[in-house]
Amino acid sequence: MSGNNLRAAASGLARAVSDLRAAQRTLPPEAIDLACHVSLPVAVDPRLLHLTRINFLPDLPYEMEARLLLSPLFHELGDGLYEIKPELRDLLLAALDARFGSERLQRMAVLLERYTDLRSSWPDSPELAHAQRLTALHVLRPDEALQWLADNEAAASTDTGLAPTWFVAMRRQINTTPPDRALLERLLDGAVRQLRQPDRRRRVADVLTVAALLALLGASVAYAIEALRAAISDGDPAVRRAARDALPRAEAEVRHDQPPSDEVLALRASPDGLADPAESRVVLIGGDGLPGPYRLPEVKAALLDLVDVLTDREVWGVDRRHCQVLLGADRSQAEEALRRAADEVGPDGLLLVHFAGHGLVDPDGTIVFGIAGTDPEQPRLAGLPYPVVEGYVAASGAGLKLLLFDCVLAGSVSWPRLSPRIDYLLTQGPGLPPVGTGSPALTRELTRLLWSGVPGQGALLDLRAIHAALNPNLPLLLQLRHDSSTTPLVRNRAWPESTLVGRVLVVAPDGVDPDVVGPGRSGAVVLVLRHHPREGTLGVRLDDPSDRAVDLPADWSRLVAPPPVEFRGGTPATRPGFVAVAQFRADERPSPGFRALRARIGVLLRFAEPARRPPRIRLFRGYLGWEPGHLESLLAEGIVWRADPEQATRRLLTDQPEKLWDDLTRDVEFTPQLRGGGPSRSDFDLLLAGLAWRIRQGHRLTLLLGDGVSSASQVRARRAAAAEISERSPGERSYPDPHGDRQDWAVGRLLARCGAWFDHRVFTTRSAGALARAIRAEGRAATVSQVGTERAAVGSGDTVRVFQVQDDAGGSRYGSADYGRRSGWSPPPADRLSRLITGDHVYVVGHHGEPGSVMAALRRLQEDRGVSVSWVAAPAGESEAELSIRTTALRHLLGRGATPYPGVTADTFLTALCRQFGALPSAAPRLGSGVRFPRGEEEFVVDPG
Amino acid sequence: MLPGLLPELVALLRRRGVPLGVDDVAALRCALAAGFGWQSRTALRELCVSLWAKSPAEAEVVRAVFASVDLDDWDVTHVPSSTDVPSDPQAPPGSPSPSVPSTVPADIGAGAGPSPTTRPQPPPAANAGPLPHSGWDDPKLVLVPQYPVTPRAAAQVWRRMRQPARRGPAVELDVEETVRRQTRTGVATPPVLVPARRNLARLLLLVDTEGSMQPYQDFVGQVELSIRRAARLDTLAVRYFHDVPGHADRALLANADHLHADLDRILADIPALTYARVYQEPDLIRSEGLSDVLEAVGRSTPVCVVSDAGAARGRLDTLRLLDTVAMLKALRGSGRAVAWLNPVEPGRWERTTAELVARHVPMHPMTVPGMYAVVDVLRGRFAPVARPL
Repeated sequence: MSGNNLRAAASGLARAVSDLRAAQRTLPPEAIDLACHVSLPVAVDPRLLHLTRINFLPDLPYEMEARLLLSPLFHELGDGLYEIKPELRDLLLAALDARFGSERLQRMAVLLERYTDLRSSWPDSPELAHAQRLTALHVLRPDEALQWLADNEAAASTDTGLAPTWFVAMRRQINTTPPDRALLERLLDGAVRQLRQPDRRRRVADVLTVAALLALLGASVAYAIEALRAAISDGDPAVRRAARDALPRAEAEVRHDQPPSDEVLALRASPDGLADPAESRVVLIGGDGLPGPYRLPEVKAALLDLVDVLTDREVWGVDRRHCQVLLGADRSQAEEALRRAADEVGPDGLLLVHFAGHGLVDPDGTIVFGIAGTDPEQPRLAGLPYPVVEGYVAASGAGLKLLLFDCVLAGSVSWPRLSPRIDYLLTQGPGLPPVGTGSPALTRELTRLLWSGVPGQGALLDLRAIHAALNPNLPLLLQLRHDSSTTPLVRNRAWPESTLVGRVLVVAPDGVDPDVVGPGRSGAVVLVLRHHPREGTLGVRLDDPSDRAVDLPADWSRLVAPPPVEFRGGTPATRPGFVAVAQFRADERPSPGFRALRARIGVLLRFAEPARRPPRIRLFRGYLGWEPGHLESLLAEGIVWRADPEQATRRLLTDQPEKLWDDLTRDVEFTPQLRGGGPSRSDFDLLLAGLAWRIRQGHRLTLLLGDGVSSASQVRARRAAAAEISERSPGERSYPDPHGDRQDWAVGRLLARCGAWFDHRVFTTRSAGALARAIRAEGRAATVSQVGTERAAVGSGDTVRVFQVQDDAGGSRYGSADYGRRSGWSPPPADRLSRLITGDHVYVVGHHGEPGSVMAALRRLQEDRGVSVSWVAAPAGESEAELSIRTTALRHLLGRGATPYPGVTADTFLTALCRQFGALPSAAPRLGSGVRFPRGEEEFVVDPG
Repeated sequence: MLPGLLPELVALLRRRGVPLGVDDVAALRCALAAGFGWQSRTALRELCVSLWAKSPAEAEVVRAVFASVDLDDWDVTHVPSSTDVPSDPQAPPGSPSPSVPSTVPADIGAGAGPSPTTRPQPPPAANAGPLPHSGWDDPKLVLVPQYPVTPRAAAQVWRRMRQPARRGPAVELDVEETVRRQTRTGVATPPVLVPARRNLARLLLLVDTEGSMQPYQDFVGQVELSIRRAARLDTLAVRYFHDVPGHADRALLANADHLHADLDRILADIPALTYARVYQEPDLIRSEGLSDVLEAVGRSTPVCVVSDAGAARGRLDTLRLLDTVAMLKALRGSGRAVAWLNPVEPGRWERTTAELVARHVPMHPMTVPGMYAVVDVLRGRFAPVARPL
């Protein structure tokens, strides 16, 4: 090969690797797998790509097809055709061989041949059709392909109508064997050797090439990973950074033939939507070095507190090493820190620059931050100008850029408009005390808010939500780019699922592993010590005392709450020692080494000198662990629920731990006493637990469900109805709940889990929004329509359509509502309703008192259109129409031609059906079945000895 | 007792989009109990096809999935019989089995991968002539597209575009009126006839094509075909464009808020698009004026736009937003209902033109719930948006 050819080949390979890296940055590995498959055809059209996906990678979402075709891997040829460049095609074909074996290549060739035959796919281009067929034939019968090519080329066949240039091109393409794994290994070997060359820029490129080839190879190659590790200590920072970025991905590259689920894909892409802490950088600058009245002594403590909260894994979890706190720093030090942070932050990271101190204004109107050495009279000389800070941040490659300035500007100068290259700017506005009397109020307030969270918001907080929740007395200015307004910044500690720390959980008996609990015991009571959505949950059992006396120094043993024995917290820890749970009285201050979990509950992290007014403690040997998401699923299934916080706090260190479970569940009986003002979270959990429990047990159950927001008279009416049903049908229980929304959520999730048939439409007399959201939360699709007797609070969501029927003195009226608005009331409902409801099946989650018009509509649906109406969890009906619908529903549910079982209730049937489909979570992993918390044990287990 | 393969088969078919339910399983159970499907694996496969497939496409899916299930634990055909004929090891796996139960399931071995003997072997390759077939086949391959919305589901959704009314010649007997008239007069009167019911709903579909919409073209085409075939609309006009059908005056952007990508500040000043061209074919060959099309379909005919609005490539283009707003104003005209179907998933609308367009027009993804919502809007349902035009 001549020198020119060699250079061209090297350049082509470099371009291929560059395109590959660009695609690897934006696409999941499974999409690259799909690209490997379609690298066989000469050209691809969207349908061939689609057929390839559904045959070989069916779990990959449809959306990925378009993303792949529009990625740098493909080049658009026009007429709906896409092509992969030859060098890249070779790499991908080799990767297909390396990951899936030669059999997959053959299957792909069969698909290509059948596709070309079946669809007259390229009628206007016989050259392309022949090229595709010949490519497939070359894989399946290489000798025949070469023979045909030779014969026809020599004869310059006129039968095929192919030009001589076509034969030349095809001969060049198929004259060699298809690339295989050896090609990738050879290229990788070459790139690893190049890592030692002196040219810095080439070294960076080679690090990236090694990473890209490793990912493509789909295997962990030890010597290549070693080379990347060595590059981390390279003298050049750019090489170091490239190696640091590449190494974790290379090490984690353990590929499986089976593509991962959507959840795993989503988790890989972005675990919870926050900026990646590993790629993020935080620079906190304290303006505490100013002279005289400008000095702000509180800044240091406030900034350190802010570091604490930002590094907390329940809030964000950025590494402390990536949080630079500059106290007393001059301008050059501050600029160096900013430059380094802007240089190191990654594309998935957040760059946060926070300044707490005085904002000064230069005579030319420039805002300058007062740092060490700044002369308040001439701030520009040694201060840190705002444009400098903005410049560093704007020029960085961070995915999200945030400026927080906790300072008040002297005079009437206002903050400049936000640069379009920065996402957020939060500053203090006018109106704060002047120089000398200020304090880092925004920093303090922000820290407090991040620790406490924002009740009523979701799991994540964006800056708009934080801004809205900050102290209204603080005059704050928020500027944000339009398209970054909803980007989440931190986790919300007030969100229910994230505040399990310090909560007492009650576990139903069937959720406890008998190996842990022991036979004959009831459920368990657990205190959560740590809860993290990605790392799991750690807790101790509160109700399982052993007969082994506590052995502690006298100073401490007197603090042990009776009974003075060790408790079995769960699976024994790997290191010696105890988890020491401590509780203070309200008027006491925590002793040294105390770590608060919630209110007055915490753990002792060291047995130092007891405080003057020490806590009561209890020692637990061992602990329980849940893998990420496990505890949440148990909560959702009703196997675990939250105990009432007040009651749990009162009985936390009870002297009768054996009775703790009974005490906390005494009022339950799955008929919770609902307090005025709405059900509490624990009520809701209890209700869900009750429903799930009883359905699993096969109990006869009547769900008497609310209609959304209810008046007192309606509550009374329902309770009366419940009593009447109980009286009429002894043995059946009814559960009146005046607060429909939460109950709807519970019922929706339950039904979604139970119902393999729920991928249809749901027609409900209840709050459609909650039901639809609950069903969607279970990954089921359902269009929920509502027919109610009241105006209901309406949920939003694409699949929620709400129809309402109002029965009043004026007769039945029909209307529709959306997003809480109501419009277009007009009669009559029955025929309009029956027109509006489409589909083959209608499932009614209903109970008592549907208006006659609804019943008429349902009957019309049944009789006129043959729509099957299924009635779930309905009490015994009175009217002929109800009876008819329910009978038909049961017949339908039980299967055409089957005899309805006498006396079967809807829920019993439901349970049986679920068992048949295995849909009930009966095989869910149980509490305490040996799951170890991956990290954190060392934080809680202390050895007093 | 159902065979062990049934749950796997049902799960695989549901994963492939064949909507099997309890009834279908029960139907198979009844058929098996009645003695069908026991003769051979092929007979069982064809029984499943007969019971479950509602179209040739679904039949192909059922067959392909059936070929991929593991039958090792299925022993129904293992019926000892003196008439057993040893199966020919050279017989093609896909060929029909003999009616006599064989001791070995006919398709065993086919699950291992493509086979070189399953398709009719072509004549030996001539020295010169047409390209020979390889003769290989893989019964597990499916060659029927499985887009996120099946034709059946799309048809169900779009059938809701209904506006029934009695129009045309009186051809249907009005029984009640006939009886009422006879009882009132007491003498035999001629039967009363009324016009038949017709669907008067009309729709203009504006489809973005080529460029970033190219990967979605098949999917959009399938939905369009479902509307044509199944919606039974009085009038359906489909026109095509690329990105935007025309351009608005760029000078308008001088007054826009340059710190934000949206056009809220000048929204009221953007005039409706006056010069815009749309095309009669997806290849964008024969063009006509958008205003002519709107006039031809009628002032009240709702319009559904199918486009990615820049979301496919993840672009935020203020010029495109300006043109789109002008187009939407032209479409809305005198209060016509306008909705937008976006084939890109909503998660990728963020930070693109699509997110900003969705502030002005009801935009929904091209899924079944999304199309339900769009049909609602097209039927006149009020759908709030952040910044109405």
